[in-house]
Amino acid sequence: MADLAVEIKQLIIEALDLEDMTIDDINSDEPLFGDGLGLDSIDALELGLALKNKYQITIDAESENTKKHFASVSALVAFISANSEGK
Amino acid sequence: MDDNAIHLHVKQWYAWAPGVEDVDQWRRWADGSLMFAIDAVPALPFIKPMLRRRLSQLSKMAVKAAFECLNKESNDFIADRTVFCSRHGELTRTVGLLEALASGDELSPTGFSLSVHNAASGLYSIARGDTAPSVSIAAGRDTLIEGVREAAMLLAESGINTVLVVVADEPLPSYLLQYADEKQGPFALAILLSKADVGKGCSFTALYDQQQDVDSKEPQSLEFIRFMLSGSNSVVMSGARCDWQWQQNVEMQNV
Repeated sequence: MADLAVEIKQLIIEALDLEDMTIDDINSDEPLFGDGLGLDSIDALELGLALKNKYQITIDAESENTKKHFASVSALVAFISANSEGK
Repeated sequence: MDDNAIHLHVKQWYAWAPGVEDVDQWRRWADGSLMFAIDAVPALPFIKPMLRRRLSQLSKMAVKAAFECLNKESNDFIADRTVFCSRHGELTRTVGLLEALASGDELSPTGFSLSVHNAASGLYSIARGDTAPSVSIAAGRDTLIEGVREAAMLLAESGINTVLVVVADEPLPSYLLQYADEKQGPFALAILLSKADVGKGCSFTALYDQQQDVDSKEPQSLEFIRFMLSGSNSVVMSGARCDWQWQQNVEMQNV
């Protein structure tokens, strides 16, 4: 699980061109959007695409749950491990 | 004085190219003793990292030139209008998107949203907090001329006293280099213009009966920089359909 968190942080930095940031700058439980890391709606789309490509997960843009899955790195870890099981 | 000439005043100008960033370096470039470096990214300390990461190399160069030029007036100076010019715009991003499509990948939302011609203008306006109207122009080999002409028209309106013209271009992507009709190299030029009745005047005139036949033409912006540094009063630069005569240190009377 810890490895997946590191992997996701690395993916966030690369996919979103956070050139001045390292994985240590991203707190797993902090909000990704708005107050915490400060990502915006274009980042949400970009990150969704990167996660989809890397973990072959389906993200439903209409679902309210999607917001919860994208709340923090920890939430993404839970979402990805639940959805990529057995694949 | 030629009645067909357009008269302007160049209040400030600033140009950036890899390895050629200040007037002294531009002088050495103009006399042939300094070449553009192969690769360099303009420093943008005045833009927050979360916004800076969105800028392509082209937008970085354009925003760099815009800020440095305006900062010569003062760090919070904003022109009444801005005109962002680029012959090829965000072609590097566009080619990247086309390559992704060709290989069946999904398009990057960020790349797509910032591949538009007014990306540099939009990012500049956010970074500078500049809410004034802005125009984005592409006009082939005449991109500088048409940008300045747009500025001249804006300055003819009452209440508009300053216009910032920014021209930035990158070399064509390799697929398209065979179509190049002028020298390729990355550069950005920003010129802060005002009405011609203050200080040193500059004018430009279309020479419709004349067209130079030069093999490897330099972009007008680079010719303009050469001219500004030269101290000479007049230069003829080539355009898409005719040559253009630029004059500086023109006596401004009855303008």
